[in-house]
Amino acid sequence: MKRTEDDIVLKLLHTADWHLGRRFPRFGIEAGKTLSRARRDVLERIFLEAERSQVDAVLCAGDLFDTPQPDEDFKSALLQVLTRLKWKNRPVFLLPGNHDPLVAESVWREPSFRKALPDFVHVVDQELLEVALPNDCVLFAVPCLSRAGQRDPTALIPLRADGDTRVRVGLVHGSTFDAGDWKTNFPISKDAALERGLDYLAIGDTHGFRFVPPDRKVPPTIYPGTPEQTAFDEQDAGNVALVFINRSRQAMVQKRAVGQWKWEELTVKSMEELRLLAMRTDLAARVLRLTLELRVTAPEYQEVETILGKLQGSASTHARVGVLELDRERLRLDLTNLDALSAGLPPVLQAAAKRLKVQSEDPAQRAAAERALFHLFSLAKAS
Amino acid sequence: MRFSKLQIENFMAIVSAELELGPGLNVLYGPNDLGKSTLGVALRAALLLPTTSATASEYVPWQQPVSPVVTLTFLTDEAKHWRVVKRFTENDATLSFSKDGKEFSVDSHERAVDEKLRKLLGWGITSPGGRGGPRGMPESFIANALLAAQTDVEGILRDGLVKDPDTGGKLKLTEALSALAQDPLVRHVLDAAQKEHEQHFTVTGRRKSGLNAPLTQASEAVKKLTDELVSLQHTLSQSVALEEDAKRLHDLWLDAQQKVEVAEQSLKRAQAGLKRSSEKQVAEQKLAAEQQALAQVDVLAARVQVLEADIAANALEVKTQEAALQSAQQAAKAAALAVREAEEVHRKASSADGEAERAVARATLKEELAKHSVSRAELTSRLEKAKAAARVADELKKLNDTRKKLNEQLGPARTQLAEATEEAAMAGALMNYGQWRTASEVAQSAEKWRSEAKTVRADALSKSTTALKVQQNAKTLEDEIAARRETLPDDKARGALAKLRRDIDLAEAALGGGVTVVVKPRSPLLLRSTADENSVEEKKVAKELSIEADRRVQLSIGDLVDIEVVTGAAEKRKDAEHLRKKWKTDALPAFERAGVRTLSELDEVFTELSEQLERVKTLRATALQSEREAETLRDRAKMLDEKAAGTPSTEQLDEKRAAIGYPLEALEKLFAGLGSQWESQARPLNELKSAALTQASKLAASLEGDLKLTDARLADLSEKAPGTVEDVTQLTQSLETLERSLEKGAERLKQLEQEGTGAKKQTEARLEQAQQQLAQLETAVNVASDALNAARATQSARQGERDGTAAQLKAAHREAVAARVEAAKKQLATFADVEVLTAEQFTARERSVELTRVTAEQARHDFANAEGALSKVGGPQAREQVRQLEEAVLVAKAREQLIEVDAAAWRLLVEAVREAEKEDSSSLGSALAVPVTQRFAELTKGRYPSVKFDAALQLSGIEGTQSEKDELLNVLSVGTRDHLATLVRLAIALQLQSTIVLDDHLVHSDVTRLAWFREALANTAAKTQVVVLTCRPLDYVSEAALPIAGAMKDAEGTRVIDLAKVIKRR
Repeated sequence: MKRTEDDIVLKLLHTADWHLGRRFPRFGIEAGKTLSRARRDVLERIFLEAERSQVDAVLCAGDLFDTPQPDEDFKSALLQVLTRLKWKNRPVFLLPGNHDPLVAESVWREPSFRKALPDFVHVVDQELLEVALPNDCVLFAVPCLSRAGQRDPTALIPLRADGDTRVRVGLVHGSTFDAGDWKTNFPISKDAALERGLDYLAIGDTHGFRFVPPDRKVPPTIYPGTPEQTAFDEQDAGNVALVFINRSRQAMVQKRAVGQWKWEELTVKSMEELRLLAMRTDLAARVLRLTLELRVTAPEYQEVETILGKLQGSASTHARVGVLELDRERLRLDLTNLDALSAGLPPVLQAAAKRLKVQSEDPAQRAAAERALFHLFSLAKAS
Repeated sequence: MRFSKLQIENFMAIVSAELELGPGLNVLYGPNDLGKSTLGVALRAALLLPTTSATASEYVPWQQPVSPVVTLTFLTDEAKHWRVVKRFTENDATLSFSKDGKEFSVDSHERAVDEKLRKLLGWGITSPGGRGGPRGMPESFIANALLAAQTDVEGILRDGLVKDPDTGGKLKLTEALSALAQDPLVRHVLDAAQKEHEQHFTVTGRRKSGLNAPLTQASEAVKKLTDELVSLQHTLSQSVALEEDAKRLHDLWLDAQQKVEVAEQSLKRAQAGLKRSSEKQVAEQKLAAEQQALAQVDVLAARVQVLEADIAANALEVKTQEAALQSAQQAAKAAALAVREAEEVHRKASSADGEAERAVARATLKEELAKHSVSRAELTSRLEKAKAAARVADELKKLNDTRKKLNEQLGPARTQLAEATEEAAMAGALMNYGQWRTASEVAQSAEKWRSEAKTVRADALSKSTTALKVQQNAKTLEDEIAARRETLPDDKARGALAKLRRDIDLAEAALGGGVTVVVKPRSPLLLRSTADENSVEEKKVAKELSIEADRRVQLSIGDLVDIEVVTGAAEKRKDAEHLRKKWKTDALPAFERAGVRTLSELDEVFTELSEQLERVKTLRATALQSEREAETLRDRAKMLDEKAAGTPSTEQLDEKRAAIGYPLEALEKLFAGLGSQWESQARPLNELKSAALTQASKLAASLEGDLKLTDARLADLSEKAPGTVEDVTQLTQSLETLERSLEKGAERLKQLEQEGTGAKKQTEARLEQAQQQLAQLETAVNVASDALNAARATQSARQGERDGTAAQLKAAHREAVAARVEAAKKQLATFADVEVLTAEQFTARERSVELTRVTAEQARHDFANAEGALSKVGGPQAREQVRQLEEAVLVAKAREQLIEVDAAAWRLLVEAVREAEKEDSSSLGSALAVPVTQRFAELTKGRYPSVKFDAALQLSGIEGTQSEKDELLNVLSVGTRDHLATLVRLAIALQLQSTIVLDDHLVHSDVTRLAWFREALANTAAKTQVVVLTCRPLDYVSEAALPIAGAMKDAEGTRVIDLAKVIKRR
């Protein structure tokens, strides 16, 4: 079927799982803050994309805050982004998810927050919101009212009545249908869009962009995923969905990247690989979990330390990697040429090196002894 | 270490001695045998020998057996004074400590004194009494080196450190010497490693736990994350428990709903059953009525039968009577004919004799014939009677058989009836018992409900009270807030104040920042200056004064002039001034009212108030919640009470119990056998027994009715049965004989008529006879006629009765009645499945339905609560957070591990280098070699440049070939070896910074060496205390230095003590 721009009756930007206010305790305080800030910064790019694509509405499908009562910083960050927009005919729908459910003490019920939201922003704060969109289109939105529940939120969306030819769009938040034990996480029937007579079902919860079920494109049910990745194991995160629906009520979905941070797990097994890593230029906006799994000579060990120092940064130098998590447990010092290395050292230091080598053969002391040897050679060399 | 004071009493030959020592060189001189060496012994004993040692007895003065006492005061540091007092041969030793050398406090006693001393000295002497501990005066290399008696000079060199029982001395010496021994690179490595090591570890080797220690921070991070994780895991486990709970409660709810459904259906059935059961009763009554009607009809039919039989029998009687009458009439007729003939004969006879005779003969024959006729009539009648009698007998026999059969049936029927009656009574009693038991149980439950209701009410009351209290708290707080709010400006005023503040700030900012006024007076003047509002100072300005301010500088020069320098444009200043004034008038009074000093304080007050308002809200919500809970509880209590109220009273129960009417024990057993489903079994049983009873009684009644009828009939027939019964056969034969004789008579008569004779007399007689016979026969006719009439009357009465009964029977329409009975039976059969319920049972069932409903409602409520709780906890998020934190903990632990490894690495490095040093034999030897070799070279004027000592400080370590060594050893004179030993000792003392006691060590010296040694001693004494015991003081000091007046003189940095003046000998 030929599609032209004229066919399009509804353009939507569908995003979800911002998780504003999420903490990243594994990376420590500073890096954690950086990543928390990244979730704030991505909002600008999401709304810029909406503006650039001239969408009719923006659907934000839940888990926009990481908790129902986020810190003031994150509330004001969202308000700041939204109040700068000055939109008139482009509504933004904010849907409470299971992380930020519409409970009494939730931010969504906070009068000051609500009052500060611009007019074009609508919080889905009733069991079922039905609202008309341009060109005889209609949106049905069902929020999460609690942190957990066994109810399928789409069950509240009325079935398509005979003769109803409107474009019907659903907006809900819930867990994947194929998940086994997450029964209390608002399970959504995988055929909900078909059953309810929806032309597009916008959902949120999973952090990677995907069609549900993967092989069905019409009518599409989409997880846009989180716009800024939150964990290493998330596939295809960092996107929003642009949705175009034509007169025949057929929806076409485009994935648009908005995230800046890439999460990468890398295992380095040779000096060459480590040197290549050191030369990479794409590390600034990267969360890198680096595992060193190599055996190096003492001079190489020194080089490893130097490279790691550059990657990690110090009080005086910038870190090359945005956020670095280092696993160096399997970094080994090659001790086969110890005698050659210690030649020329004073006898006491030679004896100390030998003693440390013996200690390194004890698995319990290996790491410390190797490191002591490294220090010994570094100090001796530096002097 | 150095000595400051030595006191001796009764020690060997010395009665008493007291001397104070200087910090540098101390030359203690006196003639031989004064007891110089005794001082050295006393010093060693004070420091090293336990008072109870066997050796101590050597110190007891031989002239006087008293305990020798030595008191030694020494310093281990400038502020650490120690005083040891030992009374030898007794267990009496005291060690005291002082910071200033004046105020001493006891540190230890007796045995502990030596232990402490050895620890303080660290000379490689094991603790007293320990394994390998020396018996006499303990020896160690350092002790010998520092305090040696000069008797065995070479011993110092010979023994070295090797023989020291304790490694402490070696270690101390090693450490002290290590600085000298180290290669610069080793020192660099060790210093750097030590520095890093100290980041992690304290001096004593323990891990640092201060806030800034690297590991502390990492561990804190791990701990914080772990704590958080534990708390979250707790939440998660709660969540999991909640999930399980919710699932369980959901199942319970479903189950309860199902039960309600079942109970409601059962109730519905019971309602239908209640209606149907009344219909069934009607049907049963109808059936009974119809059956009764049928029985009545059957009684009628039987009666008709009996009557029919009766009538048939009577008909025979009538016929017999009729036949008899006919016979009689015929006989009478014949007799009348005979009379007429006799009259004729007589008339003839009267007329003619022959004729008369014949007539007589004929008359006689006719008479005979008439007689036969009569006989025949009689016989016929008798035959008929006999036949009838035979029939009656037959009937009677049949009736008797019937009766017998009936009687046979009636016996078992009566037994059956009695049994059925008994069983029905028991079944009824069982029902009653069951109902009574159920009612009792319900009544017991009611007690429980009542008590539960009471508990629940109490809970509700407590909740209400809590709610009220919280409400009151909320109110109090609210009142407080309101009162506080009174004192505060309203939002508008507050906004205005904020704006004003901003305006002021802006206005002041607009005035621009900073002005510097430089005053350069031509001549000095007194200047008072004010910078902005704050600083006012008056000072004399001679040359130049620079005053700096943000906005305003005021200068006053005496009474001469006031100068004011103000920044900013005049207009802006005015604005600022105006605003500041406005601030004073507007803001300050408001602040005063509010009891604050600044706008930010006011803001804080507002924040605090809004927080309190939140708290009020929370309190209100809590109160409402509590009240709601109380309401729920009260409802529950009410429901329980209502439930309890519906149960039967004790009186009712007693009545029920009384109504059972059967031994309870038997019923109880039976009841127990039935179990909980007793009613479903007892009820049909009861019905079965009742039906059996009805049937048995009906059967018995019917049999008895039949028996009665039979009896009546028997009585009737017996009455009718003739007394004697003639033999029918015989009668028939007689009758046949008679008939034949009648035929013969008729033939004879014909003959006679043919003969025709008669006589008048005969005829008259015959006539008379005939007339008599006629009269007899007429009487017989009358009798027969009467009998016939009677029989007919009886017959018609019977027929009348029969007709009446038959008419009744016909009118009763037996077929119809039987059909009705069948119909009624069929209808009754349609009620076979109907459960018959009493009103009480029905009510009980209603109550049970209500109970299941309440249970279901409670289950729904519980499930809703659980789901609510779960929805708050949020299982999935908790799981996710736990996962994140688990990862974080792992990462933090890895970080901690890295730091630990690094700390361990530095520790290992320090240890390894130290150990290597310790083991490095050259270290110690070369350490001593430097000072010793240098001084040895000076001493021997460079003759033995290669002399060195090995690690054990043994002289045998001299470098060179064996011949060189031998040569050296040979060459070294006794004096030289002494000097060499002294040099070693001095070197050790210098390195240890410890006192050295030299006892006449220079006896073998020449003048050159003496001079050299004096210098060496002076150099050593500049750094550590040296005590020289000598009889030749001038080897060490000039004559001028010797004390003249007193016992002691300090000169040239040396203390000289004349021992002769301080030692009192015996």
